[in-house]
Amino acid sequence: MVICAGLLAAAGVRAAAFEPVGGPAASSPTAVMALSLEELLDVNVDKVYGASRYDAPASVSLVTRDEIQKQGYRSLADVMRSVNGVFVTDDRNYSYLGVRGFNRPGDYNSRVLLLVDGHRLNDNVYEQGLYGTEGFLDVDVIERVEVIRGPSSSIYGDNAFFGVVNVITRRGREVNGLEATGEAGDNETFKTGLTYGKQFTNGVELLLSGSFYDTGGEDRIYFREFNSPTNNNGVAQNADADRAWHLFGTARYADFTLGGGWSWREKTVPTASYGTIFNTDREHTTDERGYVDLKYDHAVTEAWRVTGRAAYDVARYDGVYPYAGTPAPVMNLDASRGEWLSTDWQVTGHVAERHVLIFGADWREQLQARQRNFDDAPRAVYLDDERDGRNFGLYAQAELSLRTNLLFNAGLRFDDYSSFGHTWNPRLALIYAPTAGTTLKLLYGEAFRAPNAYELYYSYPGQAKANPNLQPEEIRTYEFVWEQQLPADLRLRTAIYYYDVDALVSQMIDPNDNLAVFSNLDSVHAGGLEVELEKRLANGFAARLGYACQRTEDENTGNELSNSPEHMAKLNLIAPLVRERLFLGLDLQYYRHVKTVMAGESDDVFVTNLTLFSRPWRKNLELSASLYNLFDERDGFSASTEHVQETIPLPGRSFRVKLTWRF
Amino acid sequence: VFGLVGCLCAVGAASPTEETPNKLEQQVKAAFIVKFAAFIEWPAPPAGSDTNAPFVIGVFGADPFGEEFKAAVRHERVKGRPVELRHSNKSEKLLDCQIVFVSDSEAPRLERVLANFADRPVLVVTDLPGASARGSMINFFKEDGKVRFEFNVAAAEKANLRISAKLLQVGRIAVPGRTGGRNDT
Repeated sequence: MVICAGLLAAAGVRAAAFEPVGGPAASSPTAVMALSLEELLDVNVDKVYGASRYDAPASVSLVTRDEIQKQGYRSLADVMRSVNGVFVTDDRNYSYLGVRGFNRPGDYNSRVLLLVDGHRLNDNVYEQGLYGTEGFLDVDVIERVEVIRGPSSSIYGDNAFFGVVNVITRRGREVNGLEATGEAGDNETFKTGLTYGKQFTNGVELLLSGSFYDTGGEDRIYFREFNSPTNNNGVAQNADADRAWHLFGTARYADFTLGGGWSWREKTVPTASYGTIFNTDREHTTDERGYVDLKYDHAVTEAWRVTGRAAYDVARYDGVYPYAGTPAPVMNLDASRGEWLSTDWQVTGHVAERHVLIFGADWREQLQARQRNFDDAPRAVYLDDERDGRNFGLYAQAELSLRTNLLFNAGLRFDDYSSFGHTWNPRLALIYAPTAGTTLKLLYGEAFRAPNAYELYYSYPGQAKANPNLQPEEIRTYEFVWEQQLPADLRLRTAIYYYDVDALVSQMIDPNDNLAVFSNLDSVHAGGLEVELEKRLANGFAARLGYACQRTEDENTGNELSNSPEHMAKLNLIAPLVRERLFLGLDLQYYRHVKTVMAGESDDVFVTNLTLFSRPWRKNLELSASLYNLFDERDGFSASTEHVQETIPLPGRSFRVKLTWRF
Repeated sequence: VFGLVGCLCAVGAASPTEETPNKLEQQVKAAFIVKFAAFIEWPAPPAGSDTNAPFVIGVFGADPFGEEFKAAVRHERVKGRPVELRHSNKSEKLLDCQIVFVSDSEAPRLERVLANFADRPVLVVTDLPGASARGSMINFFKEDGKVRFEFNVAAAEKANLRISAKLLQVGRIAVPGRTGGRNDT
């Protein structure tokens, strides 16, 4: 077997150091053409993806499949935890994403847009993307994750408020065969999965993947707020189970791609949220998500390209909440059903070989957005609200190459919603590469988040009422990005930002009737800094050291937001121990304490994860062993108002072994 | 919106792209194709032929490299000759090329396409899993995020092309030649 190792080593530092640097000028085909054979062999083409970090009008991070494997990430939430400036909280039921200091307890993941191969995953009732085991995709079908920070409503419309997370799935032709995985860990954790991929000689390319995950969860979780003899001294026993199914597939032929999948997850909730009975395994939530998506992508001429898609989506949630009652506990059920059709079209063209124009339109028809709340026995219905609705958007963007090292990017989008009316959102960017190795970006963007069906229409007799007059939340962001290639193969990425959010949807008590209601109440502004230093070598060594600080302020009170760590630091290290065969992954995360919703303070959080990854014979077999939360950090982030707990402790130390076999 | 596909939109939209080959990847592959020439020996041209005639690289089928490639090779020289890029959907127009890249779009009929170049001194390059076994001389693949290539040495030998040991060393031999694949001299 001849592998290109020898020559690579000989090529040495210069080859290893090559990365397309700078802006559009440096990643030009001429620059690439000038590289030697050895240097070309060492270009990591996954590093800069289509939406190249260097000429994108945003600060972009990538996490690849390679890192996912070597760091032992178990879910998209784990992947996001590794990204600089991002924090993910987990209330032992769902995962919540925090970006740039913003992760208000009780809000859903509706201010970051989650895409799978460009398909929008945020649902139509809560408008949220799911990231933990409740998420739509199994982590094993992910090829890479792109995290685009800052507002992108000028292209994407709703939800692209603080950022966009785009997950790209693996290609059948790269899987090229059958892969079976098995995982086991403590807390009776098992997972098994199969992935099949192939490109056939007739041109059809297929990917099919399925997995099943089951864990008993932590046997005993101690919540000090429940520490009383009637509550088992604060210990929730056997109340943390989690089970999930994931199915996903794509079929490609010529200009068409058919993609889709289905996910189902059932979680036992140990926190006794919403005033339910403590220490029972009867509180649980079930989430289901599915879609079918047909995409068309056609190059009309060499310069013009048209893409379109049509999709059908479903989302389902069922929560079972046990309340004390006589003679037996009463089961309260909270449920939602979402069903919608969507289509979107985009035309992209190169003009005069230097400028890029994009025109697009999309439309979503909600077939159903239904929310229900009822007691099982005795039967009592508190809410049964069914809505439909539609929205459409039109947008345009121009990327003008003013000089070979200076780009101007301007975009504008119009959105119209049956619920609240319309909104316009622009974005402007100036991208300058003064020298090879330096890129400067000056960015301004506006974005919106449409009020979701839950905020608009949820009500509960005697407690909460609907507010169909909600307006969208709005954000304006100013940002400066500096990317610099440094000596010793180091790469520096820095972003300084300021944002201003208006008309934030918050729950208040209406003094007239004492009912809780959502209202466009709050304004927040924040500023921050993100710095990341990265080093990659040809032998597989990769290190990312990230630091982010942010200061958020509620304009009404002058206070810092809850769940907004002022400082965060991360280290992701992959070190080859035995060339091509054994790797060590080290993942360190530090979060400074946060304010809790009870106006108290949490403790600092420091998490260490370790993974050994091995391809003992280079090919068919992959083995990994991971230790999560090595030092058993138990402090956590702020709980939400539905919790009695002030903070939710992190899951303790656990291990996992994983085996992948390729047939 | 969400159909941001391909390198064209990617750059402009600055938004997430999809899985389609990314711009850098295509640029790297294009650069490889040009570099390969230095490591291949073609049979001597008939006496009296123009030694300054352009070195012709053909792209057969849907062109994944685009206009940029053309611009990038404008000033390149291969074996002292200027480079000409020719794109066609008809193989007969590419018979006098020194290198032909057969695009993914031709995957279903790769054998038929290859037959058209059979016994001609044309280096056939592809980017299709399994294409080496089907007769492509150099085939790209990706490993750990980097572009790699594999050789069908026998197919090259059949076309009277000699692949230098140095190039063989940095790639993978999928189908060895009659001499056993490696020619370490």
